[in-house]
Amino acid sequence: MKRLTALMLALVMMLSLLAGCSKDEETTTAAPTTAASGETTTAAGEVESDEPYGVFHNYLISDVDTINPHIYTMSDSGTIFGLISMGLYRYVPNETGDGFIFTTDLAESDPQQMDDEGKVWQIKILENAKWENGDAITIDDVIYSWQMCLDPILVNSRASQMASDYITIVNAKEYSLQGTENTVAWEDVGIKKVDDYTVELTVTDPVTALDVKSHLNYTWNRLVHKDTYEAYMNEDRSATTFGSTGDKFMSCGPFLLKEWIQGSQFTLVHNPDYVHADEYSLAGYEYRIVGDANTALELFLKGELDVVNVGADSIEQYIDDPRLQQSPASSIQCICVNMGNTENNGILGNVDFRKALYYAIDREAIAKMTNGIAANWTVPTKCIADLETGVTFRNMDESNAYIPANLGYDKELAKELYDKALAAVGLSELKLTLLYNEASANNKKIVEYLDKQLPEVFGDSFDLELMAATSNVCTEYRQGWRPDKKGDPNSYQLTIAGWNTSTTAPWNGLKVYSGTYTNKNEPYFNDEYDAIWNEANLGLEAKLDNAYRLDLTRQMEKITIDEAVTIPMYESPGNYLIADRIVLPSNGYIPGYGFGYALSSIVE
Amino acid sequence: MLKYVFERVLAMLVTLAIIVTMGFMVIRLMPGSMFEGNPDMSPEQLAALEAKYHLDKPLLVQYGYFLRDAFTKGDWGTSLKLYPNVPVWEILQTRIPISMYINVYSLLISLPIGVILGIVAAIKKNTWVDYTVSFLVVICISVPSFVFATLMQYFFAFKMEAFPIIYEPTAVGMAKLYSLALPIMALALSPIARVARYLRAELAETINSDFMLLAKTKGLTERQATINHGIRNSLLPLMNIIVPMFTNILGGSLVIETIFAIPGMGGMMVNSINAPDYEVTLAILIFYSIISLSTILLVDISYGIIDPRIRMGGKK
Amino acid sequence: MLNVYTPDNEKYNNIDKSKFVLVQAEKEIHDAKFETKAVGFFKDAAMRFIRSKISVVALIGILFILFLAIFGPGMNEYGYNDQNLDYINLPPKIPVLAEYGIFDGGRVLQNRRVDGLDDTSRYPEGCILRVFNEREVKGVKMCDIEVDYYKYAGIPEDVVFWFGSDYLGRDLWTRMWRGARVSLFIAFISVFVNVFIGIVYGAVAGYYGGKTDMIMMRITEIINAMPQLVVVTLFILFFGTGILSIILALVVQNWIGTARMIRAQFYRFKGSEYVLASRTLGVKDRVLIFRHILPNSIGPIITRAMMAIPGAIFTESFLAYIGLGIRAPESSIGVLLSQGQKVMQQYPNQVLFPAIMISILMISFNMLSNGLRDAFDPTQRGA
Repeated sequence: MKRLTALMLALVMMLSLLAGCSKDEETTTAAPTTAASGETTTAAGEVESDEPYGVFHNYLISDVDTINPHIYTMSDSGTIFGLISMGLYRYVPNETGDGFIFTTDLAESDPQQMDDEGKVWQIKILENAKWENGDAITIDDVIYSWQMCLDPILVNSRASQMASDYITIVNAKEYSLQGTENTVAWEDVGIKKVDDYTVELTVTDPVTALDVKSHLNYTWNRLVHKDTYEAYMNEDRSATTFGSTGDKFMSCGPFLLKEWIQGSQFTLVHNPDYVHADEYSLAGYEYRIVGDANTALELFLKGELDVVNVGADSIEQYIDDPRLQQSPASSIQCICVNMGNTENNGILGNVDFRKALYYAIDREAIAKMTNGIAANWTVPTKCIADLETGVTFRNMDESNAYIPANLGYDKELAKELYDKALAAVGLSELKLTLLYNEASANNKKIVEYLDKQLPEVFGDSFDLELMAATSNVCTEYRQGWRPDKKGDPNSYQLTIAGWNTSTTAPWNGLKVYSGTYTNKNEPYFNDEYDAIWNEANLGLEAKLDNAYRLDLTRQMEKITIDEAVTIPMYESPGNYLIADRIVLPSNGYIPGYGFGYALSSIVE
Repeated sequence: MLKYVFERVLAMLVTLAIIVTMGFMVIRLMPGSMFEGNPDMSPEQLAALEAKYHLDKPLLVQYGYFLRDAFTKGDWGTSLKLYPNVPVWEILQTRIPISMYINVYSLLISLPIGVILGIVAAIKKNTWVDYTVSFLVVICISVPSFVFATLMQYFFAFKMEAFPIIYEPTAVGMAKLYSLALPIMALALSPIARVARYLRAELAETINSDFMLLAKTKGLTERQATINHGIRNSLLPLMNIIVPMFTNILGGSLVIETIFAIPGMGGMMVNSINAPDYEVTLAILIFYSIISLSTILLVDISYGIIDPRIRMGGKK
Repeated sequence: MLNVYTPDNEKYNNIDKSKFVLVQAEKEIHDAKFETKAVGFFKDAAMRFIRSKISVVALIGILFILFLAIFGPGMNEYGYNDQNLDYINLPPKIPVLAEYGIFDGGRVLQNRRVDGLDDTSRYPEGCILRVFNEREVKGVKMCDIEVDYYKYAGIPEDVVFWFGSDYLGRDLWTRMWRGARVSLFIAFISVFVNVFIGIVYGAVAGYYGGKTDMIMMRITEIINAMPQLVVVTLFILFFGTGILSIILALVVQNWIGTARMIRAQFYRFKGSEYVLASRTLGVKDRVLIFRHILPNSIGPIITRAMMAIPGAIFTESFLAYIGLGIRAPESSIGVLLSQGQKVMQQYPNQVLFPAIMISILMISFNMLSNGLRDAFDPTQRGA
């Protein structure tokens, strides 16, 4: 009994201890919480047109990994870093709000071509830009940021994209990959300081000013603060924790990072010293991290979020809502076919079979259940053909001439092709496994639907087996055929995947089917296709003649469809509810740009 | 006893070493590459990165590097994917307190309630009281906590506005407890049910035992006998379920954390496995192993203290 | 002086041996015969079990659910994988109850434009039952309406879904009972295996104690330390998704709890006097373990096994929640619950019915295990 009493006593003590702590904390910190609420009331009290006003409440579905631009992997990290840092160029919505334009950020003007070919470019930067702590931003900051991105000891994951993307900087790749060997000096890299406010870039191939601007607009080419970056460097200079928490950072962009509570929220405030500060009318910008879709919706309905993504399950209740806005899908979801698979007498390598699959899919039904857009093409609807007019690639008549009618659904043709393929490889029945990532609710619906629909089209001789896995297991199988991975040609048969490709360069997005692309999903190799891709992306003629470039893009897309390189199914556009109080820079989604929340203003 | 304790601590360290070794190997068997988040990275870049972190070396060599760093520098690795370059313990430090917080509170609520319900049900066995308690208990066990959590959030927070919808990260003290009240309640339901259920069964058995009969023949009332002798003997087996409950509860609940936007260990665990982030997963594994091994040790030793007839480690 | 017989006492030596007569030489020697038939352990238990009404009710409840799990899917015209994209996410409609206004296929649709309500292409005639909560958003008149969803979606009169339909227009009644079948199968198999392994392992460790126990328990600690998610992912990598992987995942660590419990029970009883007595009589270890000590633990084992069944179903539903559930398009309670949770606010029926069913099942199991436990409890014998 005594022991029991002692136990109880201990429990009670623990309880009181806990209660005690919390009470103490409450008294000491009560002030800041009330102060915070007071702040919002005063802000709401008077509205002045010129002063930045209001906080935009956005959310993320998971925490970002880091705000170090050289090593981040999540797109949300890039978005946040973009708000609190500067680059040389940036893109903003155009006057009419139906497209965007590249404009200067830290740069004073467009890049100046210094030679005849277009290999040497000079950029002058503004002289009045400042860091959060008041230090002036000079060209040394720019060069330091780039040098660190390419640093051979740090081995940053973004180094290869810094070295070569729209433009390929001389010796940058060699410098960054030399390790400890010291074979390439920094002086040999095509990045030179001209004076305190001018930098000169030397590139390997002739490029245009737009290429330079596009390249320098990338998140990883933006500025990092030298002293902060150095302060958190480890002893052997192999890693820095710069950007891993809110303290280990220095802002200079349209907003200042005030607080980052890991796993919970980001608080950004207006930066009055930003060179284009007058374009931003928000006093603050906040991100909460909310993983559950229903929770986010509840928060929006209570006014705690200003925007919410409405999933396929809840959209029914909001189809009439005037607050509903749509953004185009980021990718086309396709069935990837492992055409190198040797099982089933190599039927997956048979073009007729792949075309049979292409024609067997009732995309309209799929679009209906996913609340998406049926897609039987390989260049997504979001892709813009002409930056100036904002015309999308899919809206051009020429781009639809070769796309099969009826969204590519033709039961009879599919059955015919299927029988032909079966006969060609000498099979009487066929059983295939479809691998999918069950985390995606849409994928789950679709595979269950296909499991039922495909045998209905192909007949009883066809059987589809479903196999769910986590996304990394899916990746493991999907890329298992690659020689640099497992090198097992039969690593998978069918799977579902989609590429999130560039909005502004449809010709670039088609790289995922080229033989030289390193992250291929399917073993498709076609020299003719590769030649067109190279011409469209690297050829100077294509760069100067947009119509020609688009024509090449159409040729590529036609090949992907004719040979059923992949089986496109649907695109799933995003549906968003945006609060009444938010005034967007344009009335809706700006192609290639987004809704432009950061540029919005708030009216109560 | 001392010798026994010493032996047990030694055995615990050996176990831990085996767990770390096996964990290291098993975690690296997990599919996926550490650097797949960025599909546009060039293959040379990927190779350089893998070389930097020795991921291109055989498993045993990697393990050698790990042990070397752990013992010579006390460096248990840095996260490579979830929070690149941040030491793993620092990451855990940001996650553990909040998970501990909700879990300790939910245990503090659930233990007394569960014990009381269990005792009442056992004493009033086979009466309507017993049936009502059993009914409530079973509802708590049989409806998954994520259903309860969603319902609570919808009705208490969204409809009635009695609580905040999600966790308020800047709140402290009572405000923090208030913002976490719903997840704490949602988490407490299942332990309450488990404790009550288990205690009822144990106590019902104890009440029937000979020493209780003796106690009653000595002249104790039913009530005195139950409180003085019965409960004490039934609490012992309760340790069996409280301990795993404690370690489970430390693990956090992925679903509840997701619903209430709590940055706790449950989400961390799943993220680190799905990322994959080997170092973080391993650190979590080590952390939990230490907790669970020491609680098991504590229980085994305290067994001997609470009930001297039972000395663990005794031979047949 | 006391007269005691001793061989060398002369006083008795002279007695004629023939005078000694065996008193019961003609009779059989035996105890009094039992008037009634002998009652075995299990029969005794069964008798006590039947006496408890609530246990019998529980048993009937379980049998009822088992019956539905077996025959339920065949009770209407739908198959578990019959899809119809025109019948997506319908609310429940049960013909008899519909007349009383419950499960009549009604649903509230929020945020409708008031000016669009007359559009019969969207709202077929007579489908709107109630208009309420009129308000203005961004200058547009909005309202909420309650509709007869079956009419709204243009579904023929004779088509009904008792429990509603899911995202592919599949009948939830059929899927639920089909799911119950699968889940119960998984749960029973895994719990049976768990308890079996747990008993043997725990008994050996607890009975032999010492070094054996030390090593066996450390092994369980090592197994227990691996995160379940890692173990499951690896199983799926090697065996693919499906019932086998899930059962393995449920078995690989879950037996440890039973083993620890049994071990503790052995520590409790192995020092008892009756065990000591049996051992001095030369009873073999095996017999001691399974015949003499283990039956003491039957109560806790049953309780534990009954608790493990919902536990198994939850683990399965957790796996479904993180996307590692049973292979589609197969249904299970876990799949239905985790899918239902995602749309709980939109289509509450999708989680309500499986949750009610599992609750009834568990209440029954709980009551049953109480009854069984009391019935098997040796201390209550004859009571």
